[in-house]
Amino acid sequence: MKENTRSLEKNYIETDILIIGGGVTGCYAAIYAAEKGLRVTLISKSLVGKSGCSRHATNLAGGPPHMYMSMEERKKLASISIQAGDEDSKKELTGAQKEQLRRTCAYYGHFLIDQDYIIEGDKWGQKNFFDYLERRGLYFRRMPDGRILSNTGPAHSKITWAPRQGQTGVQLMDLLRHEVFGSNVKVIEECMATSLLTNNGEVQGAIALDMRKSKLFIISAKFTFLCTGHSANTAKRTTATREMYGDGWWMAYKSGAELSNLELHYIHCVDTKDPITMNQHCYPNPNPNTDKSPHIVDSEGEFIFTPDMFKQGQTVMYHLQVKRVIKKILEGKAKPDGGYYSSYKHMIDDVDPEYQRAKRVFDKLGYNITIEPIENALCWEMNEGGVRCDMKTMQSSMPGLYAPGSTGAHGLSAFQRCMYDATLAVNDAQRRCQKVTRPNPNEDQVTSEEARLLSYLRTEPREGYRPGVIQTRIRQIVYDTLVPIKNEMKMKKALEELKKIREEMVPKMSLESTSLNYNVGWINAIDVETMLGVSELQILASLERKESRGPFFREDYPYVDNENWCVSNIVRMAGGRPQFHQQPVDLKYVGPDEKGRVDYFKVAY
Amino acid sequence: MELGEMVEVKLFRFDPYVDKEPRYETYEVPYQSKMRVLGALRYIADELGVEFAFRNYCGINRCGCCGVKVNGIPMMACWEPVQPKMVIEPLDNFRHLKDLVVDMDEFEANIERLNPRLVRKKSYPGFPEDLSHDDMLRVFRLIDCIECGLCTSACPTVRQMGFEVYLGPGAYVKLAMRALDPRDEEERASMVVDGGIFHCISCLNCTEVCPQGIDVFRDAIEPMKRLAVSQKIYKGHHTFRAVKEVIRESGDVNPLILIKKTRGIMALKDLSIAVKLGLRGKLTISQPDNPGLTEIRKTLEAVEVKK
Repeated sequence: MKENTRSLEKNYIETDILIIGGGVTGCYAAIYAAEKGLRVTLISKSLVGKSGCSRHATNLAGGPPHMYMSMEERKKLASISIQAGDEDSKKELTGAQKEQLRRTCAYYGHFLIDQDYIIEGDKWGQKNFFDYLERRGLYFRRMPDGRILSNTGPAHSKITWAPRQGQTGVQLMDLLRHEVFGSNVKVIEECMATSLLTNNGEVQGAIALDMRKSKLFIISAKFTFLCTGHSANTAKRTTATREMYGDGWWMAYKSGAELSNLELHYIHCVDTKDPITMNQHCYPNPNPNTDKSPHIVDSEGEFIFTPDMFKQGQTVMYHLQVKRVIKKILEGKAKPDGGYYSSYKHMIDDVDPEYQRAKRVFDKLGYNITIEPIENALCWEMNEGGVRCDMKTMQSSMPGLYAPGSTGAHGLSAFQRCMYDATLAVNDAQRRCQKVTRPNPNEDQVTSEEARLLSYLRTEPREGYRPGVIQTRIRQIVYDTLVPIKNEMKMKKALEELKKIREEMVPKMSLESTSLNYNVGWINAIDVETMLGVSELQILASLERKESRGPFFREDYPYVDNENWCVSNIVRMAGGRPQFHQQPVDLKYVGPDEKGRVDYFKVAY
Repeated sequence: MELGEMVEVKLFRFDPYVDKEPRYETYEVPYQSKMRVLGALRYIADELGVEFAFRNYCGINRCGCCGVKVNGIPMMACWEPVQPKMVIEPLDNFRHLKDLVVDMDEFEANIERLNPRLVRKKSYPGFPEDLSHDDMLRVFRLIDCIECGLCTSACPTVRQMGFEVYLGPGAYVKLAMRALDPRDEEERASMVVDGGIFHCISCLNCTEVCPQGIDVFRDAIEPMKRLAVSQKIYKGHHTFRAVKEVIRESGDVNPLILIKKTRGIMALKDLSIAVKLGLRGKLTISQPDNPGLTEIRKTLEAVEVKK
């Protein structure tokens, strides 16, 4: 019927802040900016607060220390005020603060994160994060004595949830979703940003495709926030939601922004192998109110993580777990895609469905965890790298473009930090809002983007490849290449395969229909280009880093090299090609104990 | 099912932009261990390249987007196991957009009408506020709602009368979550009535289909009805009031008096039905004395006092 449509209906919108993405960062930035009186437009590739990996959060890590104290202790703490440090000078840290910082840098950022950012972020979080959520109605589970329920263990590894382990993301995003709807934010759902509007080296908004009616939105904005999150759905097994292909990274890269540390990503070791559609944690954290955790064993029944590991309160250190699984894989006692198990047998009394969600899932799947171990598989989780930002303002290397939250290269992401990032970005945008004017969007760019999008809307060749099938193939290649053991040969081969897909399959890609109504095939086709681009960048970045670090393991460089590689691995587009360079990380307060090259498996952190 | 067996999927396809009428396409999907309905649908999309419209994001019953009707029963595709033969269709009671995708905007607007945010009038005392699990127990039972709309799609009242008359059970779960919260200070009782809750026929479909195991009827609908009644915003449908009066008077439901009280002179319009009922002995003019009348009145009084 609409076979020959060769132009799309266009809507022009003007706004102060354009937010791309409806996860925790996008939602909170929108609410906060609207409260400050800025005009805000939020577009989401799917449904605000429902898609995106924020929904998957099981725990809230950290938190204000007074949360775990008695009423008395809390009052005492409330009387001590947090002193705001001078932004640029070196802060005086107490021994305990330094230890806390060292742990964060070592376990979550492998010493590649900005240390002032961590200190200031924690401070903000302690003051505002839990306060904000509870104020708006989130319920943190209370114990009979009125204190908030958390796991037992030393304070630094405390985690809590709202109000059931495994269900935190749902409740938090539900709350933010309705806060967005109740605020003065223009929301467009199921609308996919396809490229950034640029002019004179500045980002001035974005072009977006509304999936329901295939309208093109041309949104001029004084400031554009990329809140698109991770790229994880580029791999076969992933905790990312279905629509997450790293759109933000790719748009930022194409606009000329710098990205860094794309090779670093967390891997979950303890997700169920079957069914593949469901990535259920057999959570290795101690269960609520206990010090008991599941046992993880290899194919021969030997422990992968010793139970002692958790008694020391070393929770949520995915890379330590990954390191142990990698060792087992090298020994042939586990496989990335299965062949190792988690067992609940010893702790079944403590698996209380009222406190945690996992039991409910296992029951539903028909696993009897009182008698049988559950097979696990490695699963790509969040990325540590991303768009490189100024850590005080979240502004990227392109003026007008901000990358708060997990889109940015901040090293770690958690709700608390995402909201802190959003606050920084909005504050900076507000500060500069009066001074900034943006010219009308560049019509040439709109025309060429429209042509690019329409070029995928075709049913010829009839016997062509469906985009969905190509996506599946890319996901398999990326999983096999990057999860978790990498080497040069494998990665070069993968690049060849991706090149082949780009050169041989993509030109023969065709859709089932050219309907302009919710055309899933068309969206997939546009995503294929993003997936290819992002996957290639990640593999190139992995090739670039010639060492192993955190969860990043190269068989051909099986050592941590703090002398040469305690650096940010930065990429930007130059002459249409990715160009890498490295920049040392400022180890302002704390640094790794290991000097020079150290065996990857012997590094303590 | 076992590995090696095939799942037969009959998939509803309809693009109102292009197609004249809906059709069903049949696919064979090889069974995989612990396979969910979503697994079969993703196989059709990812391996066979079929481009049917379908929202699915998280895969683990958290986002509430993949609701479909499987063999006539509304369910989350990610949560329920595959069946050997499945007819997969979009959810009822919502405007159909394409294939398995329905328009949830109206559902969302219904929730928004009930202001699903916590409204504090007193200032917030700071984290952590004084709160006990007992205070929050009634909210805790509803807190897992993911707004998937399954309950609303299974609701016969919504189907029969539409959202203009009744906002549906899903919206009331969100309302109840706030109304039952001891911290909330919004006037919720009038919202309850305005949303048409007394059109609910207590069929329990909502409870039955909830993927989060929420007892929607007992923990949301009933407490909300109670709220409206207890705050004297709603005195009950006049039919129910009439039934109560008739019972108080005679200890039994006398059909003639009941018709007189509820329909009045309009009852004459249905005289032919009355004659038929009379002929079958269903209408008796005289009412025998009810020996338990005193007991019944006592019970009724007790109920009144309790309220």
